[in-house]
Order: sequence, then structure tokens, then C-alpha cells
Amino acid sequence: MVRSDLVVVEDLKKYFPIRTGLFKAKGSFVHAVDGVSLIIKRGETFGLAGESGCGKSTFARLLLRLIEPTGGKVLFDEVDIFSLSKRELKKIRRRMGIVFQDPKSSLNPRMTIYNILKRPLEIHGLGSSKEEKLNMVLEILEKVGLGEEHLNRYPHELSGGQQQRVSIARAIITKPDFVALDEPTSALDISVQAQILNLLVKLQREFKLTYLFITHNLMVMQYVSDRVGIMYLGKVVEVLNTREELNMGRVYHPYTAFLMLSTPAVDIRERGRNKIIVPGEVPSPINPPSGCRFHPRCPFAKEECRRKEPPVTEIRKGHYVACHFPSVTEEKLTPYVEERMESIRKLWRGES
Amino acid sequence: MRNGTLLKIEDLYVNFKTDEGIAKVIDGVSLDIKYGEVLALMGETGCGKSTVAKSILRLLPKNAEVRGKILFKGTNILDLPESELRKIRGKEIGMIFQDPLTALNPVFIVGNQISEMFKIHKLRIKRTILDEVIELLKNVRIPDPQRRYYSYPFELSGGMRQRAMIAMMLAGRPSLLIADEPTSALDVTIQAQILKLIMDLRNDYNMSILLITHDPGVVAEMADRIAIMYAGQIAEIGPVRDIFLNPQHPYTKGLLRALPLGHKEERELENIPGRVPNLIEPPPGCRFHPRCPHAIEKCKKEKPKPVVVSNEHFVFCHLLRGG
Repeated sequence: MVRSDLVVVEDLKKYFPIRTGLFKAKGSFVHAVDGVSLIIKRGETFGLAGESGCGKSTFARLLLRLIEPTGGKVLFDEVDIFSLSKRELKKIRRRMGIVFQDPKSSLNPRMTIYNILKRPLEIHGLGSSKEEKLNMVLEILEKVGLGEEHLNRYPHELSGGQQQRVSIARAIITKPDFVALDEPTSALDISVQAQILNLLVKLQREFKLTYLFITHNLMVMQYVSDRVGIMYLGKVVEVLNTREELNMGRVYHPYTAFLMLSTPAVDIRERGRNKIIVPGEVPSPINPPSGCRFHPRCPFAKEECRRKEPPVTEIRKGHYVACHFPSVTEEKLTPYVEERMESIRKLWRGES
Repeated sequence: MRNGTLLKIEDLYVNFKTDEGIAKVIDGVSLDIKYGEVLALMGETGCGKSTVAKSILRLLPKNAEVRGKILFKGTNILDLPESELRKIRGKEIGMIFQDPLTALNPVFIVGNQISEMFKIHKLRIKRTILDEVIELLKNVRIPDPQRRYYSYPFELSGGMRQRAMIAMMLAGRPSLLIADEPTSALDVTIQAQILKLIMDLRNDYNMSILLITHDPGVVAEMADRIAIMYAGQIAEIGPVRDIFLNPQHPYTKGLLRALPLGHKEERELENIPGRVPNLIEPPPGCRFHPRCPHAIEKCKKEKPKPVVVSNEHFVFCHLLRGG
């Protein structure tokens, strides 16, 4: 029987040392990812949302072991990837792909599209002959909506959307099970973003891919993901189902609620209502606040929030919240989020 | 607040001479901004929205050729000598950009950069310049302004830098603010703060705002009217509610239906086929016609004239004529 969990993350940590001056290592660290545990299920899109510096990109790099962790475990299909030798790691990497935000800087400008796509085949020893490799490249190009005419082009000759299609092709040409997508549409215009999102959904269905989809854009998140994790300063503060909970506005961590209320989202009918805005700025991950990391910005914070880190509790089946007082959010913010999401849904359904 | 038109752009054409040929970047744009109004210019990369903004301030590079009229309080900015222009640019018309770090000078403290505004424009002041600057920093809600006066730009967060830029812009008490993607580089919680600040200041200072953005969400929150641009032409212009709830141009419709406002299991996002045209050899007639699912013969030949949908709502599309 195939297990439903593809990626299991346990108490994952990554601290980056800060060096000041020449060669001088000081004793402080950036707590980029600080004790994250979650599960990504086979075939789903797990969305990870949060603002810049919350550690979401570091998290993606850890899942592929592109960087080494400070602590914790990642089990990929039951294999602890941090215990693997270089050779074993390379073998398992064939089953993982990654797509970055800026295709311009992630595609080698001196390589033709053909060579870019051939590389992963060579690295993993796929395709026995030159001809077979070419066929594999052509096949994947067609899957991402490009064609033979693009084979000998260079990245700079393509539009941003086409470049991102090449990045996606490169990530899936080895027929992986899992692809980490790190802000894949954030640099793109709306109409191109729509094309790429449609493409990613189509490819996922066709190749039964599992996605980790990272974005700061909650509208993209609520479209593309099946479950969502919200990150704040290296911690996951809420995990929930997208369609039944996030999109209905049923969120119980104050940060999630503020994020959703801050996102400008064309709900034109709601204009003129008093907006709820979260005060302050994200604190530095070098010396993160004590207790709950959101407490300095949280208008509902109490003494306990300053002292004690909130435990992760399952408040409904599959819905996890790391907050001492989720019922306060439920009373004070959730109704506004629900109302807002309802208004956006109306626009989506074309009801005016 | 005064009635009437603050800025009127009439038949603006901008061409750029490039090595490959002449790029026809703006193709006959006309629009006006009323006193106290927020007009958003929305469109995708390369549609010409920033070029329009730069034309108003005459900040275009030397290879640009500009035709048409830009009337600011009745005076054609394009005809003004440089000395007269300086009295308007940065004073009567303020500007903020997407990335305040490149707009602020990294080697001077923020306070001095704002003070400069008072000196350059010989602004009348009631107190010392230091007090005036601290007052401005207070107005843009920078905490601890006495201390922040002495901060270098790199010592401020992205949100605080944008506030400092806004403070600098406010020094001249402009009647028009041109905001070019003012929050696109900021996180959403900070973006919400800055958008609210800009709207509060618009009331306090009686400013009109020309908002340049690619983000329909920002438009929906800020604008009174929107002009949708495509490839150097205006596709549709009208009050914000009309555009969002009753869009008429095929491009506007496509753009709004491309927004991910629901879940993938419910429907696919609208796909506008093709890509933005090359403006050295732009498509004749309506520049959107090669991508338009409803294009007719006329669209390839004639540039569409505005069709009135309702009060203030105009669509540049042949398909609506008489319909």
C-alpha cells in the first residue's frame, strides 16, 4: 500500500550565523526556520505563505537538502534525507524538482533551452541515446506549452512567462514525485500568472505531482493549494484546509486573519468599510521575540503570550493553530475575514 | 476642495528611437484628473503606464519624442522652459516610486534629504527647517521622528523608507501626487499601512493622485476612476465600480477573469492567448486585436473611438458601437 504522506517534516531548524567584520564570527544567528513540523501528502499542493524573511524559501531549500539543517528531520517517502550519502542523495533528488521566482537568474544565459533541459537527464543518467534525450526534451517542452522552435533559443530570447515554462520543464523532466515551487508566479503579469497557474494545475493532474507552493500572495495561495501553512518568523502558526477553511475565512490565528484582511483583493463592494490593519513591522529574526513571536504586533496579546510559546493545537480535524487564545481571533477578526472572502467569492462567481 | 480639472492629457504620443527602429510606446492617450481625485493607470508590463507618468514630469530619456498636450492647471507642461518646469516638478507635482532605496541618496541622513526640498524650492516656512522636517516625519507616522531624522536610508525598513519618501514629497505641498507602484515592493501588512497613509494624506493635503500600478487589488482599494492601458492605448476608462462590476473591453474582462479569486477545483483562470506586441511594429487599428477572441475586420484597420457605456465610463472597442 502506498502511504499518503510523501514528505514528513519534524522539528526542522535552520540558523544562519551572522558574521560582522572580516572573518569574525559573532555569537548571533538568524533563526530562519525554527522548529517546523508538518506533513505534505502525496498528490496535494501544500501552500506555504508568509511575508519576506519568514523563512519560507529556506524551508523549501531544506526539503531538497540544498542546504544542511541545524536540527530536525525531513523524511521523503520514509527516507531520512539528511542521513543519506552524496550518492544516495543524488538518487533521491531525481524524484524532487524546484522552480524559483526569477527564471532570468535561475536559467543559465549561455545555454540553449535544449542544453538546459538536457542537463538533468545527463546528471541522472536518463535517456540512453542522444536521440532519446532529444525526444524526452521535446516531449516535456510540448507539455509546458513550448515547441521545437524553442530548442535552440537562449533564455533572453524568451518572454518571462516562457522562461518560467522552461524552469518548470527542467524541474519535471526527470519525472519527479515532488516539486517545490518558490514564488513561481510572483515576477509575472496577471495574465501570464494565470497561464502558469493553469499549467501547473494541469501538469500536477497529468503527472500526479506533489507540490510545495510558496508564495506571499494569498490570492494565488487560495486558488492553487489544497492545504495551507502560514509562516511567521520561522514558525508555522496555522495549518488549514484551503477550500473549506481558508477560502471561507475560517482562520483562527490573528496573524493569518490580518494577512487576509491586508491583502488587496478587488472586493470592490467592501470598499469604504473600516479596514483592519495590523500595526508595526516584522521583527528581526536575529533576536526573535520571546513567547509567541507575533505578540509585539498582536492587539490581543496577554502576559502569557510574552512568556510562553503557544503550543500547536488541533482545533478542528486537520486545522492546527499555534496561539494561546484562538477564541479571541474567532470573536474579533474571523467574522470580518469570512465577510471579505464571501465578497471575493461573489466576484469570482460573476454575481454583481 | 476645488471643482474642475487639475491635469488634462490630450492626444499624447511618445516614440522612442532605438537601434531596432522607432518604438511607438504611447499611441494617442487622453485623460484627465480632477481636483482631489485618485485616478489609477493600470496595465501589464510594457503597456506604457510609467511612460505616461514620466511624460507628465518630463523625465523621459533623450531618445523619446513626445507629442500632444499635458495641461497642468491650464499650462502645457510640454511647452515650459526648464526653469519654469522646476517650479512644478517636485513641488506642485510630487512623485513616489516603487523602490525608495534607489530614490534616496544612501550617503545622506534622511532628515537632510527632506530639508533639501525646502531649500531647492525656497519653500516658505513657519519655524526652523528642522522643525518642519520633524513635523513631516510625524505626518507620515514615522515613530520617534527626532531620532529618525538622523537615520541613513539603509537603517530604515522598506516601509519606513517609503514613508520618508512620502515625507519628502509632501514638503512642497503638491496638488498632484504621482505614485508609481508605491507598494509593490512591500509586504502585504506594510502595504496596507502605506496605502492607508496615502489615502489619509490625500485628504489632509487635498491632493489628487495618479496611481500607476499593475495590481487590481490596490486599484480597487484606492482609485476613484481607472484607466486600463494596453500596448500604449487606453482600452477602457471609468469609475472603479463600473470597471470591476461591469467591464466592457475584452482585455479588461480577460484580465479580471484571470485573477485567482476562487479555487482551482471551481474553474480554470481565463487565458488571454498570445503575448504583448512588439511596439516597433505594433498591430494596426486596435492593438489588442491579435489577442482578441471577438476581433472583426474593422479592428485590424481602424483605431477604436471611445464608446460611452454610462456616465464617465468609456470603452475603446469597435464591438460596442451601437450595441
